[in-house]
Amino acid sequence: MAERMTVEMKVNGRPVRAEVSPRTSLADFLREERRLTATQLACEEGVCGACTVSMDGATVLSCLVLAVQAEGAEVWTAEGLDGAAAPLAEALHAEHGIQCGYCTPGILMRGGELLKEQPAPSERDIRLGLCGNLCRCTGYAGIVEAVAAAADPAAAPGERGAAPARREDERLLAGRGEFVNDVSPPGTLHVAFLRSTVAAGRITRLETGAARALEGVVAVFTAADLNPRAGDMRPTPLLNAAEPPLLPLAADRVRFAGEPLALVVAGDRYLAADAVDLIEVEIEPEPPVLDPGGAVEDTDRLVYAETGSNLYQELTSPIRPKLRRALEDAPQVVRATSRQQRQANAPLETRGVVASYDPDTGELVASLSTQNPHEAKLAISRVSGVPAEQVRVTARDVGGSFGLKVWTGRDELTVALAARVLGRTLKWIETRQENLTASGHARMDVGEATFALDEQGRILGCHLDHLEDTGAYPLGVVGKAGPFVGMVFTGPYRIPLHAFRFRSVRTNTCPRGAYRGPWAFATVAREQMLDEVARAVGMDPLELRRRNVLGPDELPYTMPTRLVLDHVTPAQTLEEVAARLDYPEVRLRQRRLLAEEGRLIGVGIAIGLEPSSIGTMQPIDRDTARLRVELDGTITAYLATGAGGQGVETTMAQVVAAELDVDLDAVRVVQGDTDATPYGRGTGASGTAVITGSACRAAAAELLTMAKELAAEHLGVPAERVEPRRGVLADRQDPGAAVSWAELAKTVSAHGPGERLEALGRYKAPPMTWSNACHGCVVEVDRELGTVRIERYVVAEDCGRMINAKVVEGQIAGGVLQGIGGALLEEVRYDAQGRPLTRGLAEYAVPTTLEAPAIEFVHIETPSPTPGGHKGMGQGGAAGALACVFNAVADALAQVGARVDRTPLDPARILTAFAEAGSRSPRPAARPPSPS
Amino acid sequence: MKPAPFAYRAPTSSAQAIALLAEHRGRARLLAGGQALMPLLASRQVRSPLLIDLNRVPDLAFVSRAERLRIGALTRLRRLEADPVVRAGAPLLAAAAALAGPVQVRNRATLGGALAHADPAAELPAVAVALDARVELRGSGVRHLPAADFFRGAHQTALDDGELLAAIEFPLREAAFAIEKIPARPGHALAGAVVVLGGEDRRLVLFGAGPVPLRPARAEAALAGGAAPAEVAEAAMADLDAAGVPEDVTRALARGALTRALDRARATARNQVDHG
Ligand SMILES: Cc1cc2nc3c(=O)[nH]c(=O)nc-3n(C[C@H](O)[C@H](O)[C@H](O)COP(=O)(O)OP(=O)(O)OC[C@H]3O[C@@H](n4cnc5c(N)ncnc54)[C@H](O)[C@@H]3O)c2cc1C
Ligand code: FES
Ligand code: FES
Repeated sequence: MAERMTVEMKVNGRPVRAEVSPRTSLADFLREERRLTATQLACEEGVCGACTVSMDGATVLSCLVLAVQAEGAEVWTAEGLDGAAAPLAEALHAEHGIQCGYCTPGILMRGGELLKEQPAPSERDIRLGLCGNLCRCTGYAGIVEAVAAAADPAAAPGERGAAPARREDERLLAGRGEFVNDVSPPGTLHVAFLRSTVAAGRITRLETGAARALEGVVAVFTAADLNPRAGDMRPTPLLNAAEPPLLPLAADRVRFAGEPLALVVAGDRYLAADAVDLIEVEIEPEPPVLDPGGAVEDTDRLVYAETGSNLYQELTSPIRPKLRRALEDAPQVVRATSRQQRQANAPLETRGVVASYDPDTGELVASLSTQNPHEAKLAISRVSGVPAEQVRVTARDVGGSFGLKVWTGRDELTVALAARVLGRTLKWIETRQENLTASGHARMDVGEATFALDEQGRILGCHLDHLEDTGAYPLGVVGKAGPFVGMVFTGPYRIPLHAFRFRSVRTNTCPRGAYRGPWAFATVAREQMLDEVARAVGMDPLELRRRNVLGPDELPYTMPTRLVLDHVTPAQTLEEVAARLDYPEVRLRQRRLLAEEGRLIGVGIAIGLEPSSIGTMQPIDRDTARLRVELDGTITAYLATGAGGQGVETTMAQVVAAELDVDLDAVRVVQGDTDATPYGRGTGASGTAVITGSACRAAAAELLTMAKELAAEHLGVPAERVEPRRGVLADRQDPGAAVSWAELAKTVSAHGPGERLEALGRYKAPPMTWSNACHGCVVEVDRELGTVRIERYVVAEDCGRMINAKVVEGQIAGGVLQGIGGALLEEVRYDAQGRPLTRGLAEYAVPTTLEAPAIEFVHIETPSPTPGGHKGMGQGGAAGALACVFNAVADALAQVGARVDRTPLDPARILTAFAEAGSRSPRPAARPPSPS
Repeated sequence: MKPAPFAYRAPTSSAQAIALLAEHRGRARLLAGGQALMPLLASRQVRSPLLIDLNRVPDLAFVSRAERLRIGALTRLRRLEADPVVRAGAPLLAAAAALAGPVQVRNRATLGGALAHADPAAELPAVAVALDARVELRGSGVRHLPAADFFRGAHQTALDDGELLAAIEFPLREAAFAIEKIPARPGHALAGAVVVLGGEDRRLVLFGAGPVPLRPARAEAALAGGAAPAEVAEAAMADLDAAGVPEDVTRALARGALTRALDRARATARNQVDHG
């Protein structure tokens, strides 16, 4: 069986000869045997393009080519490009065409080939040429612009003063990023999970003998081996929650298809997969609980028999008499429904962990793909029983996450525990199928609301009934995001009365996790429903919003739920978008094109409020930064954050450099290592700019106080006269008198070895920092094909003072494209037995270059009262786009009487809506409505 | 996502490949571009003790033109798009090839693989039927079949265990054409339609709506009778009923695609008349 073959090829110009198994893919050969890790594997089925390399002069997907097929070939990877891709690499850097960088090597390979084949590509050429390279972070804007700029440097807008290019890019462009799959200490063993294919049932047989006997298999663990040794697996905020326990592996019962049943450890991933195949498993299936609506009442079919109900949480705010009267007797009362489908974060990099336990030292070291290394450290300590002081977590580069990797997952923790038990180094890289079926799902909300309005269309009050599907195991803080939707539902509008009911139910499906804006449904439901209300009362949706949106003189505004809204500009952003779209003109054109050509144009608007840096969200409501002055005068910032695409190494360096008035290049950021950095929150919940940024400022202030004292001594002036000025500490009254940071550092180090000039800064978030945005778009719906084309997309946003405008735009563009994906394409689907139907990126289609619109931005900068004046904005793009695109399509459809109340609005759903409306006829004049 | 073990052979002539097939009858798979087969192997939906790699068989990769356009099964899609002989002789084939996946896939995928894979929602089988192509199958002997007889079901063809698809022949014909797929972009489609209008010869093919590319006879008759695109598409639905294709959204998609393709093909035909 273990046939080996000799293969000879040239890799990056060097001859290579090796023995390989025929089934080794070229990608694995390059990565594992040659240690060329720029080439990434994000799907292993030809869909993502991350593994693109060049073979004999043409790009190929190295996951779909066997190493033996490259016999005699010339292979080039991103590591070998060197100067060859310089124009494109430089353009990607300048245009912020890189965020997490996981897709970047593939983009370089294909983009380079494109430029060679088409030296003067049109935008369409670029989009077509790169449609096989998925990027989940950037929204493709910077990538498409970069290719255009590389072809024609004159077309490049050039770097903006306010937006320095990212310092993360250099290593990512050179293929020297270090993602978890790139970490392979000597002696690494590989893990694969056996997972249930049944949604609900009792495990009657699990036979691992044949798997254990397979050559190359080191261990096979089942629940009996690991569960008794596992500590609490829940994330820190849920430690005291009363709920059924979460254990490493399913013991006697499975609760969703995808649930882990056994864990195999083998010499390589191929063998691990072979061993998984050999495990015999029998599960007696039971009827699964799948429909969240039905699950509430169901007492026969229960996800947890012992709980007697599938209802997980319920929270009701009382409907006071005034609201009740309004909802019953107001001049206009409108009911609306909004349903959001199950979606997946689908970061390009799946989850992964490399965990080593050394029985001699008792130390456990783990590299993880995580947003939150310190939380991972605590969680690994709890689960494995290794004291926290002896756990070290590193996370260098993270290939996207969007909430999926905030809390350390069950599977990563199980692998760390297995490493502890075996005393070995174990590596698990989630397959795309696992990622789409067993990591975490999101959205899955149903909202039903009633709005009471007066004759003029002013909203008097509303009530929201919100049902959330949590899946089989509620994980993370998501249990708290649900009630939050009701709390912020009224958003940026003058709605004096409001009440809500929130319920979440368990179902036999993949657990719900956090996804960019766990609270997004507040925006999605409200904005979709407002359009429905506008249609019901016969008012233009822009006009309805104008009548109800909060104006500048109404702030601060206390929402009915007692949350206070301030320093926001919803009315201004609304007007910006209306002006940019030339709203009245679009409406005229819409009518004209329908009347004259039968074409369906739609306009959508959505206003969003983004709650960020939330002071009640322990423990991620605070952060710590440490700044150290090195002997050469440069500053190192030690932060608990990580490199997941948000450009933290750049933006936090900017903050520190500005506070200390030193050169940006004089500041280095160290993050993603729990041994090197103070405890902190990681990235997430749009908190970095405000919370980590303010911690950096606090540390800088502390450092300055110390530096001023030292400089004062040096200069022989009082400390009050010293100020930082362009890289030195200078006497305010004598421009010639100054002392450098290096000199100060040396002064301190003279006190003893290891003595450094350094300072710690802490910050705790205020109750809430709101950013706001208004999205507007124009779409055309194809009446025959049911497809949607986005003509224009405008975002007017206010995230306070921007640290880096390009980073802000990149975050919005990435979020918007995920929102577009959610509105039009993406849906996690199960069959009637609860078996997943979307197991790969071919089935779970995320947007490509071809679906990504160009986005026009308007920035308003209203400072928040936090130290830097920033407001978190990492998530709102997704929420705004989900509603805005839905509204535009619904607006188009409404012209012919077709109605929709749920996403995704894919061709099937749109054509069905036409059919239901009896308006399938392509040209109203040409034929009578078709018989259905 | 790692394939089960297999052995690998890379013959250098089609005769060798056929001999290997005969030797390992039923236990071997041919590997062409691998763009369909490799993902199936990696997810272990398909297992094969032996892979016979056709990529080193030069006599399977060619484009030639005499009375017909003759294309070797191993010809890559990217070449079909660009080859002047193909573009002149079967422009619809060149256009369809450019839609069959992103560049990296088309750099590797082959015409023979695309037909032998017989994906019901793929455009190339539909184009082969629409252009009245003929496939050449080689095993112990040589057989020729019209494309319409080659496709037997979803992922099922007339190839038997010991045969390989060696070449595909296309008649040279002047015609206006259009291909429409949903979504309208390179990569996997839900459904689509191909229209070829060459004088008296009007061919319509729907894909994605059934297990094999389907020629709707009633719709073709309606078209011949001068019906408007929407009516032709309506007639095609009756054809789908007759073929036992269940009433579902793919039908609606195919219908939309057909209407659109008819519009476009007729516009091209008019242009050709105007300018020709
Ligand atoms: C991201 C992506 C998008 C794609 N989009 C599309 C698309 O839009 N449209 C589309 O049509 N395809 C699409 N494909 C599929 C791709 O074009 C297929 O690879 C192609 O259809 C099969 O060709 P291949 O040469 O790669 O065949 P292989 O994958 O090598 O083989 C496919 C099957 O055919 C058999 N076979 C191959 N050659 C022969 C032969 N000469 N004789 C007998 N049997 C043979 C093999 O044994 C195998 O069963 C896509 C693929 C990917 C990865
Ligand atoms: S890993 Fe090869 S295309 Fe995704
Ligand atoms: S930057 Fe493209 S996937 Fe993250």
